[in-house]
Amino acid sequence: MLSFRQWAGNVWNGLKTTFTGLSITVPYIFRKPYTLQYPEEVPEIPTTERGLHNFEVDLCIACDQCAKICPVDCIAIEAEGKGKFARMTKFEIDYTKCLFCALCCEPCPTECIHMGPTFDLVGYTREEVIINYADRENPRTFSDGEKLPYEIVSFARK
Amino acid sequence: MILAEVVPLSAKLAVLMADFVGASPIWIFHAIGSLIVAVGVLALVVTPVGLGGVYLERKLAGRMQNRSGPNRVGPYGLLQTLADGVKLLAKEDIAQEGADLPLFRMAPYIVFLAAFAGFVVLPFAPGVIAADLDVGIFYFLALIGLETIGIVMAGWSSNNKWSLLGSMREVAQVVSYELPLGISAMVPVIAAGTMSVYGITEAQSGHIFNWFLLKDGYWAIVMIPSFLVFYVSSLAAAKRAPFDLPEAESELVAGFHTEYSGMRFGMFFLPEYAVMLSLSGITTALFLGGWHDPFGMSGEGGTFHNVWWWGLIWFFLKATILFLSQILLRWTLPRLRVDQVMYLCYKVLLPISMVCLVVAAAMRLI
Amino acid sequence: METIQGVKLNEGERAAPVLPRDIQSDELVFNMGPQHPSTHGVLRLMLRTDGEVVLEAQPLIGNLHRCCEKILENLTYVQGLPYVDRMDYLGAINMEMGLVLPVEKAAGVEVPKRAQYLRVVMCELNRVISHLFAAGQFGLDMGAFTPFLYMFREREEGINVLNEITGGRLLYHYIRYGGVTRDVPKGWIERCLKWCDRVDEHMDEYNSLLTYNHIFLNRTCGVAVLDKETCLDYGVTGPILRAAGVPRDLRKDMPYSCYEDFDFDVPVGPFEKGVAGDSWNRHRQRLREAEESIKIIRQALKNLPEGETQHPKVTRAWKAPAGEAYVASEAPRGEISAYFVSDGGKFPYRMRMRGPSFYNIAVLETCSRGLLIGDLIALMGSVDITLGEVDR
Repeated sequence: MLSFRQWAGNVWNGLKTTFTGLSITVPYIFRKPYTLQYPEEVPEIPTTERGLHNFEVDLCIACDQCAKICPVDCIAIEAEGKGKFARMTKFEIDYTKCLFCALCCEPCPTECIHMGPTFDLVGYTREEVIINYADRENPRTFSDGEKLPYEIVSFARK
Repeated sequence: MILAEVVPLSAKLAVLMADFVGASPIWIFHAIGSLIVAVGVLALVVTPVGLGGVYLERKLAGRMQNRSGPNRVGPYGLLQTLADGVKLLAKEDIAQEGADLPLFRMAPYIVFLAAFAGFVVLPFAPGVIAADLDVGIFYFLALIGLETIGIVMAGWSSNNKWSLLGSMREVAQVVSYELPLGISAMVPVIAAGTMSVYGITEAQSGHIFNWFLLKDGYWAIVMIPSFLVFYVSSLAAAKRAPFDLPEAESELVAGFHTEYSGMRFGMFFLPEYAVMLSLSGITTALFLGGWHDPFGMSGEGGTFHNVWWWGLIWFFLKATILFLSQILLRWTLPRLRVDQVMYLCYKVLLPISMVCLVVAAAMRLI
Repeated sequence: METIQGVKLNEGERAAPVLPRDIQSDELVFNMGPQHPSTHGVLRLMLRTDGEVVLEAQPLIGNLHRCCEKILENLTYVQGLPYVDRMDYLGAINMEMGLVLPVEKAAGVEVPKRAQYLRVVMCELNRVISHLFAAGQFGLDMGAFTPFLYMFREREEGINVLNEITGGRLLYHYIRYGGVTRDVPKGWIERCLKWCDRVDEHMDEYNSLLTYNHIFLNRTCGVAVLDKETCLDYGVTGPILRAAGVPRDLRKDMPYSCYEDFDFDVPVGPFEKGVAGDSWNRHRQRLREAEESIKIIRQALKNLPEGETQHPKVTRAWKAPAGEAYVASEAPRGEISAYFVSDGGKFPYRMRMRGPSFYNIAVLETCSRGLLIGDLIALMGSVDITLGEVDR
């Protein structure tokens, strides 16, 4: 059984903490929102972001190291010729499988594959999120000479 | 009374139509006239109340939570709720297998009807009232009970156990909040000596110390507690947090309207705001002086005595402040548990309101 | 053949005898989840209730089963690491820690001091983020939306801090065998300390808005009590066990990765309100632990030693020599540990992981009897399970 004192204390506590709560939430109405208006305001992506890959097709020697280390086998490489004269015909990354673990960047002898800052890739079908980086007709790569729009952080470990 | 001077709009319309068409029984035109007025009122009151209320709630909730709230559709996101309404209209109306179809389909209309019929007895301004019933408060409380019937129907007929639990909770909540709500509403009735909401408002004519909340200073000892009791019970009546148990999202998925989609869901959603506003309105009329301004300008001999637009401004100002306070509370407090709602209503609100009632009666006698 | 509601019965099964309806009070069977808003992922609970009173709640798990342990046994050492992130995705770095420690112990790898300190910093950052999430989520379950978003705001900042060094926002892949992936970038330490101040600053806000709110106290104090004995019987670990009054924290009891260098308290329930092991104390325990973690971060960043961040011998192609080890470590939700056996081959021979949530979820069934549905939500919210790690 509650004594009258406890009962009144409960009522008072209820009222008091309600007003404490209001005194915290109400001032926020007059503050600037914390959120970003995403498509217009792009969040600041650190240079270390492990987003979609950036692949420099001209540097690649088709050594297959990245495909070997990939834990999910999402990289498919095809090349014509051998060694120095190798010419990439296919460098496909299947983003339905990719873990974005950046392991593929590490063994690369020519440092031609990097993780980029792009974090959004959308498509209506699964085929649309399988990207062929060696497609010379509509390239997605930054060929040499062109400056990259951001600083590359190497994931390669010596 | 001023009301007598205002010929009901439907009667005017009926006379016009009768003149235009000629021979036909006049009651048909009266019926059509009332229908037109009803539709007009729904379009003019429902739309702004529902849409504006939803917008206000979402914007305020957003700002309280350090977000920006709706801001995409229209300037400052003002058309967001309209867009949502269009979306609801375009959606498929799904009734699930095993649902009790007649009840399932009827339930939203009952809730909708009950929510908007409450506006009938609200005295918005001098002379602006749809029907000045002698038992206005009684009628209003009865309508709030009627809304519950719709909710129970919805929960029962949905063939969903979560909905069933939701409507069970609603019933449990109704029986507990209705007592303090009704009893605390009796205190202004005692002070005014009438049950007509219009009459109660008129009895508060004058400046701020004529309002029932602070009537003559000493009445405040009963009026302020009963105002708080009425306000808290009205939160429960509007099913707002911390009393949103029937639709408790994290517990019962969506409570009684889990199975509703499309416009039928909208018919549960929009009346919530109508109920909020009508409850704020009745609180204003009972305790906060209705349409009277605090400076006594609308009182006897004041500048704005019986000026309808002046009254309208003050009525809506007060009602909106109460409306906003409901929103602020909702986004601040956690939810109560079922038994705690009953504890609050039976053991806290009910004793307070009863003491207030007895003291008020005694003060009236003295 | 007999049928019940159109479902054919197997041979030998028989429908229960139908009693006259007026002599039995009907029980309801609820299927709570996997789409229920407060089952925190894909947990499915079969509830048997009498009205609102829960008679029995049986967790049905396995909707997110991915064979994590078997996958680890079929990948090389370095390939396996990004997988454990996916177990407890809210405490990903702690999962990596749980995987890495036994392997290093079995192989006798001495991790450089700087790497150990960095591991501690990341683990504690992750713990704060995870606890903020759990506390906010609990508030949300109790119907308070706003504190949830306030905590999310600080969590977001913390994720940005972690993102800057690891490159991931949720799944970090930061800890490697023999060290860590990357050293701290320029200016990172200042930003991290600034974030710590920010969380400390806002802790009062969370407490007065949610923790000490009268309604919240009434909803959670003395509700769904998990006492010491039950916790120990069921192998419950982490904040739940400590809130019940058992001062068991592996960071203190069996220090790993230089935890013995830091000065921090192990908060133990009961706190100011309620009884030991109730929902409120579990919530309070998390917020208190977050404060302690911030203390550790500050110390570690202050005393960050110079040196290598990676053991030079442990490279990409590294294989653990034959041996076995079992090491437990403290993740946000309890003990994460792995039993590791190597036969010296390319792949681990055996990798058995003991996740905290799997053991914590088992207690739901015992504890939920006689609760109201609203209290059941309080129980689930305060136990705070991650289904990715339960189902693995």
